[in-house]
Amino acid sequence: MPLISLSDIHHTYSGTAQAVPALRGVSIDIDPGEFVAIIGPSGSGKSTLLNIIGTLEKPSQGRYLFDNRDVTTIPERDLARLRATRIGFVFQNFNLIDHLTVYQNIELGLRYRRDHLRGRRELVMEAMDRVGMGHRADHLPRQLSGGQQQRCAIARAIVGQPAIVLADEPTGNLDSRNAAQTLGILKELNDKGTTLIIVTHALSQADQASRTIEMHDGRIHLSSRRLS
Amino acid sequence: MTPLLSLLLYIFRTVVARWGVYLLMVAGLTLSYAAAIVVTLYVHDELTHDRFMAQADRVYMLTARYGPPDRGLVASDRTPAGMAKWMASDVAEIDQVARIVAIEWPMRSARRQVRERFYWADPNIFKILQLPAVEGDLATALKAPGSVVMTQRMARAYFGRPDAVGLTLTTKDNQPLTVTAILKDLPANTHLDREIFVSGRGSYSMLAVFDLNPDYQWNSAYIYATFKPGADVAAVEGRLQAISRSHWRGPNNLPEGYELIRLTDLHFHPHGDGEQRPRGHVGSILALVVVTAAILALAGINFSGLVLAETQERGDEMAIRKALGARRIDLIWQILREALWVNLVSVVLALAVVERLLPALNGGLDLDLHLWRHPAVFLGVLGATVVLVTVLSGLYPAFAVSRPAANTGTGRLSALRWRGWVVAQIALVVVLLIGSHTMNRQWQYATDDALNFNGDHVVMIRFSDFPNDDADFVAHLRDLKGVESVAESFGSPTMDNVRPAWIRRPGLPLISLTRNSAHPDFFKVFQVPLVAGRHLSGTFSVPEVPPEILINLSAVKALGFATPEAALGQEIVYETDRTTMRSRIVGVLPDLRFATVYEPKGPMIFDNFSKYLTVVNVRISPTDTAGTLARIDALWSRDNGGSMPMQRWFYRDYLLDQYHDLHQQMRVFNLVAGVAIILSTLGLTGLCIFLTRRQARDLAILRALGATFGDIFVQRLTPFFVPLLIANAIAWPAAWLVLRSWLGSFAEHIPLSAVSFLGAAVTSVVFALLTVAAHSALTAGKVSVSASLRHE
Ligand SMILES: Nc1ncnc2c1ncn2[C@@H]1O[C@H](COP(=O)(O)OP(=O)(O)OP(=O)(O)O)[C@@H](O)[C@H]1O
Ligand SMILES: [Mg+2]
Repeated sequence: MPLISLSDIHHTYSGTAQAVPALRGVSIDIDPGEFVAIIGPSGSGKSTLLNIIGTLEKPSQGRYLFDNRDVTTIPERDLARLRATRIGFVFQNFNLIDHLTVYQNIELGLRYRRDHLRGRRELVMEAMDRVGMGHRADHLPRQLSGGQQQRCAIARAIVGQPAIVLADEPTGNLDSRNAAQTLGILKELNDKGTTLIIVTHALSQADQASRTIEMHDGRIHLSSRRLS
Repeated sequence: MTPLLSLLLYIFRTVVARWGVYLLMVAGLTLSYAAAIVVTLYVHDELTHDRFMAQADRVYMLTARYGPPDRGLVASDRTPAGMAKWMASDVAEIDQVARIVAIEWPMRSARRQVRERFYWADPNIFKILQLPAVEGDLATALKAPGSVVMTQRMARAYFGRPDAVGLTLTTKDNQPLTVTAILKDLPANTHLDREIFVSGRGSYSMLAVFDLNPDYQWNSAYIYATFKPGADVAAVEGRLQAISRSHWRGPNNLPEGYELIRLTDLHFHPHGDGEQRPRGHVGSILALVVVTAAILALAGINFSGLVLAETQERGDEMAIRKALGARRIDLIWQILREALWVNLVSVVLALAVVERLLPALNGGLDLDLHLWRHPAVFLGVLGATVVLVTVLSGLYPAFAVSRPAANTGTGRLSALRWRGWVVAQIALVVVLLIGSHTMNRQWQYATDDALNFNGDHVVMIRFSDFPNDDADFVAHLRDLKGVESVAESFGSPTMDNVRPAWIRRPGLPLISLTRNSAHPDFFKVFQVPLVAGRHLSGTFSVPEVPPEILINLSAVKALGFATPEAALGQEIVYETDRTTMRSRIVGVLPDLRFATVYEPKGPMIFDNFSKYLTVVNVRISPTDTAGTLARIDALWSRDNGGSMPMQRWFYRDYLLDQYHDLHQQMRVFNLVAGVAIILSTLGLTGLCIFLTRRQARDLAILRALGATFGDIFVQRLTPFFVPLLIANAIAWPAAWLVLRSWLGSFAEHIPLSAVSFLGAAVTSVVFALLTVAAHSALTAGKVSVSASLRHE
């Protein structure tokens, strides 16, 4: 049974002078444990698709099942809980909170779960160690390099042990060495069973995915599985 | 949605987003300018008392002090009528001196017939009180006996027309009076409370009577004087006591001293017995000015913050302009120019608002404020204020934003600064709330709890001057349906013309007390229980020895009795009164409040001389008061043959009139407090808009991490808690200090209450959080998380 099932998703941004159709009929199933890379030209709708999968954006039309639940109809409160417990985000521009330390930023990933997790501190430490940031717990984001910031963001995404991690151009702002290291961490995560979807422009990264989806003009142009 | 509709929606949203801030700016400034204009008019009105008279600053009013030589216990605006003549003959520096004596006598024309309040006046009075005339010659108007000068308003009342020179009316015993001049209507801010001046030359006038009887020396006349240029008024003042002693005849007390008060200072001079209108209080005026300045400052700070937030939003625009070659001064000019426009629009709106509100305000506060009385000065002051506010509030954002570093994104309003902003707002609101509550409590105390008697449902009726009619009337009143109890008295509680007296018990110091005469049922009418002894046994007209008196608890203490019971049966001698009357204490009363709370409650005596009874007090049943009043009116007409209109009033109305100034202060203050609260709401809303913009990304991150709207809500409220605490920590001691000194201006006052402080704290916190919460709730759904996360 697929973890994510999208059928005939359309999305149009209103709120601008001209309505922009960003997605025009996307259907896709993603199984647990898959590593999907989304590629395509700028403006083709990659980020939009990822945001819809992450429930940050509600599709204008179409059906979206997450773990067999129709997320287009459930209330906002439950969506928030879904994000808090099942989904992790990594952004191109890191999106850390400036006035919180590395430790506090990572802990935010547990804050909204509402289940009284024991060993909160251990979980945060573990996530920090996993991305190699254990020694920087008390630093502020601006005291870190880009690569370190992104590792911190990944730790925040995975600290709650989500079923799926969504990463929108996670290496877009990093040099090649840091990019490779970041992808390595994500890949390691996927090896341990976490579903991973990344948007990327680097074909070298797409090659490592189990499946590559190419977007074009709001539609899926090509979907290819790597034979392993 | 059709493309056109979505286009329109888009335009609407941008306009609101963009203009919402401008709307807040204009609303806040308009409100505070309007408040500042009203307060300025009010303060100006208070400070220009009597200045409508030409050369008012050259005029002095004579006042007298009574009491033991070392202590002026009672100050009186009225002085012995003889003083005017003695000053004229003995003081070389005098230019003019003249008297007026206030009286109520019947006055009658074809249109109007009342017991009129007017002045007997010396003919030269208008040489001193230079009232503007519209008809006739004031220099000669009162020379002939039987001449009268009145305002246009009075002329209309008596004759139906303002130009009444030559027309006649009659007074007591059908004495004819001829109008010789018409005055312009008096403004509300004068110490004069009557609008008719009758020549004191007539043989029936009180002034003539005083002049014929050199021993009629008591506090009867208001005496005004002007001095020759270069005269040393203080030196004259020092000689007056000796002059009055050298001429004094008759049995009454000689004043212990005299004071000459400049007419323009009179309104803020401490209370004087027999003052024609309640005095003002400089402290309250000062507080009002300070609070208004604070409100303007607050509006300026709000405006400053909004301008800063708004221009930072346009940081790119500034950078581009710079790239195009704009100098820093150009950018500063641009921001200042925009600030000036916003201020100008606001002040014009404020003028329109005030223009519309003034009639209601004047009616509600019994004022006579006018926007355009001195247009040039007014516009000048207003213009200067606008420029000042613009420059002070525009300069900071102008410099901050045009700073060379601004385009690198470091020009943010720091967290410290916006917290300071919240603290200032809330602290002021808390001080005003505490102040408002305390003022209202003091008002409540003054007009109710402090009285120690129950004046509700008491009607007071002034006697006609026909003793037989009055006796009939009172007798019939007692049997009237709806009348619960009836008692005659000399004055009434809080009436200012109680008679001062000085007494002593052997071996003890002289004490001053007020003396009143009443029917025994007086205490039933005002529901005053006896503390000890018995009531008066009746009234009597011939002074037998010794008459009965009741004294109050203060008198028990001042006279040195250990207990109220110890005073019973004791005799008292009015030592300084040359009549050397003796009285026996038969009962003790609680401390009734006869004077306002501006004066301490003091020792008091009630005797039962019927000779002094001038008023009948009637307690009527609370049900069907209108019916009872109608029956009383009908009874009056019957017993007085319809010739004399009745003068009656509720005690409550009389009391409220005594506290007219306090009431005015309280209303103006409440108004200003309300404005401050609205202003803070606007300021906080502006701050919320600003913070929401700034925190959009952070909040979006939290949303992506699974925070619910509820979580976000809490997240946005928490930063306000510490500033709210600090604001209260600052406001409490400030309010405590200011209010303690305000309450200190009353001889008797309530203690400051913890309820005011806690209430203000709770109100301010709830109010601030509600404002923030309302803004959060209104905007929460509109923010697109994914859009906020896209860029930095
Ligand atoms: N918040 C938004 N409001 C309006 N239009 C938007 C918004 N976000 C994206 N779009 C538009 O939707 C279309 C798809 O955008 P999207 O961000 O999904 O593209 P993308 O494939 O991620 O591009 P890139 O590779 O440049 O990140 C574009 O035409 C974009 O202009
Ligand atoms: Mg994108």
